[in-house]
Amino acid sequence: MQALVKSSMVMDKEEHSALLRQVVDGLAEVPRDDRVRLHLSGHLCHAPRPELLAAIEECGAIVVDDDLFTGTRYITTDVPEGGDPVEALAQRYLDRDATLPCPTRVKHESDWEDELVRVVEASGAQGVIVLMVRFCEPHMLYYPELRKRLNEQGIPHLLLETEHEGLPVETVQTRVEALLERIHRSTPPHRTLEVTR
Amino acid sequence: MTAHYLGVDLGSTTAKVVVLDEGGAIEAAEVVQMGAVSRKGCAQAMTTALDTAGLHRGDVTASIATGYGRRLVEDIDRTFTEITCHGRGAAAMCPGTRLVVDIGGQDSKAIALDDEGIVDNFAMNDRCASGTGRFFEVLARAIECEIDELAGLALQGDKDLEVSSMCATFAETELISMLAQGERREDIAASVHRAVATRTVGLIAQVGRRSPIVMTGGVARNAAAAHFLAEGMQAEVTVPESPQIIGAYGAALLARDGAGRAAVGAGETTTDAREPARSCNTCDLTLTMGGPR
Amino acid sequence: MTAAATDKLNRLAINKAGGKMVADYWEDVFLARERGQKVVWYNGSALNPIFQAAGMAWCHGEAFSARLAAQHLEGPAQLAGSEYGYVGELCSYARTHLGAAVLSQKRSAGSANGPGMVGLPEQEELASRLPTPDVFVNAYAGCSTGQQWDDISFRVFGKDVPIFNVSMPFFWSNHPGEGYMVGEEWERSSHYVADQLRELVPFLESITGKPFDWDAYRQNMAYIKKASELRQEAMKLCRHLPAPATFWDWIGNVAHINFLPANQDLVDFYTAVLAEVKQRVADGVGSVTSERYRVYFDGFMNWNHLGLLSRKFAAHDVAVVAGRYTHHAFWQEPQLIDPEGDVLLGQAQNNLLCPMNHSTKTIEELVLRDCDFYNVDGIVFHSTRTCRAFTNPQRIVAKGAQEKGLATLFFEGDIADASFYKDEVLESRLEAMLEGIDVRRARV
Repeated sequence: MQALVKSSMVMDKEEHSALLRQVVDGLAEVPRDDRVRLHLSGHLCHAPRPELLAAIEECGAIVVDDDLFTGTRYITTDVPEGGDPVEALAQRYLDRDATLPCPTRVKHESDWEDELVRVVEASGAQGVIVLMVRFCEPHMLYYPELRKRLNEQGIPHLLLETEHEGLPVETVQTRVEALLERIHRSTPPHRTLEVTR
Repeated sequence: MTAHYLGVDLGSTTAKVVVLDEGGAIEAAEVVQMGAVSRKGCAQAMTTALDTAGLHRGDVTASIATGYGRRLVEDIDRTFTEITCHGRGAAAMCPGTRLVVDIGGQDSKAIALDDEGIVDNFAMNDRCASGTGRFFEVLARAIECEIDELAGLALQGDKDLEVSSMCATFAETELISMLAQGERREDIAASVHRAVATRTVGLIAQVGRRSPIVMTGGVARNAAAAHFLAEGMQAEVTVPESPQIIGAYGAALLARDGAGRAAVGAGETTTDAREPARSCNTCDLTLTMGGPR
Repeated sequence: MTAAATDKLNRLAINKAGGKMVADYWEDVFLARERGQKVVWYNGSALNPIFQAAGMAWCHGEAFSARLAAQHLEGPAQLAGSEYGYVGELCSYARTHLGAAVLSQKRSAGSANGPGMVGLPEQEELASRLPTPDVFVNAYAGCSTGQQWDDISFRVFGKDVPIFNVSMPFFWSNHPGEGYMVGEEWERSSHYVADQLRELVPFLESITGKPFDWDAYRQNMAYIKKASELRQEAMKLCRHLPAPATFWDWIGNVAHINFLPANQDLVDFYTAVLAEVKQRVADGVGSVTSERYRVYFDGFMNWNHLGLLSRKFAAHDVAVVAGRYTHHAFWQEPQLIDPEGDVLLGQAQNNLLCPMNHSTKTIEELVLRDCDFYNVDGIVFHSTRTCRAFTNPQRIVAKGAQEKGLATLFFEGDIADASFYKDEVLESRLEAMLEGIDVRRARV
């Protein structure tokens, strides 16, 4: 997913769309397994390191949805067709902040925490990992509002602070594993079994 | 055949092993000092603990490893993080526990438990050894005493000196310059303990204050560490009889709960846990922690 | 720990009396609600003469955090912030203030309930005395955190408190002829902000339900203009050797010019400051008892260690004569204020002249101009951990300074979070810098 979105950001759209069609045609439905279903939230300006995503999956989780800059955030809002192209592009930026609020924009039309809870419920994610880029002030300021709502909704979550360079895989995995263990232990075993079937 | 459960906690400096009987009572508990993470030390601790319980490896019904070196432990059913194990262990050892403060050789954690003893939330110290067992080693070296003597000295100190460097690297020079200025060892020890407690209170703030509070891990054996934490929290802090074994105890309990035989959700294999290079972001240094292997 | 046992710092005596003025101001703010006054929370730009004329009580967020830190009372607010979920890398002004917001909210809600992190009742008492706001006014130059901080305060208070945003453009100085107070960008931005401030007035009237007192506002601005002129004159006298006052003294009375009520007391205070400085110059008395070095301070103030730092530098015979923070952030261009004419323009322009709101080129020019004027041996850079806006240009400025033959030193610390400061690091780097200066002098 990351690769698909990231490449779409830099490639010629027509070329990318053609390739994307091939990818979509090649997809088959996969039966649901017992991996813990997670939502990734955050990373507002750049892509998380691929090793980080791999480390999360290695712990036994599957990412079912996200609001990352190089993920859903990018494809969440279309450019309105017709009219002045430049205005349409500008409109798309404004619209995107309403459909998927970004804390770098001081806007009040919609609230990120509402949107987050809505999509978590829609995807059936069992937990959320908040990926916070170190020194991202808007995210640091907004995070407690997300946390408050997730706690109110009883959605387990984990905050991981990331850096541009370097990734302490071992520490990350310990934290992710602890989250998964917490999700496992608070989920009655029979429910897990039902999911498996 | 009666069942026996094995919990192994392979930490940065010690290996802890607990064997439980079918009813969950402790049959044997073993702590081995290693100096560095070592498979051999761990294997030795396991053998000794099983000997004490009069058991062979084959008598073990289920086993779980935890701790920093959990993936190095051989012949184990599965692994759990220290967070889950310390939470489980403390909740069983001290029923009603809502907050576990675990300070080990090189990390510290605040673990919030719900009223059923299940982990609700946790926070870990970030990337460096500030406020951990490693940090107390630095203190002992600077004021030239044994680790065991720290508590006695700290509890006699009455002056509150400002310890600005919580980084293990810089703290040493700072402590030495305090000595050079004629400050008493007792006061220095007390001030360092107080500073560590302040850091720990900050860590606790990240998960939210709850009580009763239980302190686990090797540092909990230091009476002064618990004393100053209680002072900082203005709340009672309970230290179980053997705070070091709580993680292994929790692991054994989880094995007994059936987690050891359950489908391995994490899909882990026992591989070499590489020591991560840690950049301590509050200073300019890059430290690789853990001893030589 | 390493500062000398004997204090070699000879502080301005007048700042003691000044301290009482600040304490009285805060007492007054804490009781604003009881008096039935509307309370405005704001950050960054000194809009207080406007609030004063609107009959409101004003609460400067950073000033509140700085005060808590300087009094070593920041702990409970920071813990409350941490418990609410703010991470340690967040601007410590913001998280101290937001922590205090959480505490004051708790207090106004009848306390007791909710997770009580704080075990230090008296300190919590102080942090929680911050009166809850009736309105937020956001006008922050050069710091994006400031804008988001107010927006989050707005959210923390349940989105029920009205907020007014003033957009403050950054001075990029990308075109020829643009720079410090010159060029088309300067003119355009000044009017852009002044126009917004003009819109702020009816907004405040809608909050207070009272007409804005323009005469009072012009009078306030006249007081501020006078106070600033006196302060500027006194600061410039520190060029003398030995320096009659230091950066630490200017820190000691920064609150007055930044947010105390504009009135005759304010003017009288800086009149007395100037008189004391003049007397010292006449008597040849220095602020450091045996000044051998003089340096410039670039960086935000480290409020937690104000006493420690001032003693440390003095102990090494170092006079810290000026700084980017004290000298470029507070009404430092009083001549722009025209109380009889377009008074809002001078307000807007001074608000825009924040030391973080310039291009690095301009900052370098300003700092090096000061270094030249005060004839310093070097620059001490306080690498302010949670204030990226202030810290970002420092390495480039340092390079420029080194090319001019100035010694430079970096030390790590923070505005309001004590834990980022490492005393031993500064101590050894300071000694090394002074040795370097000695060696250079011996060669000449």
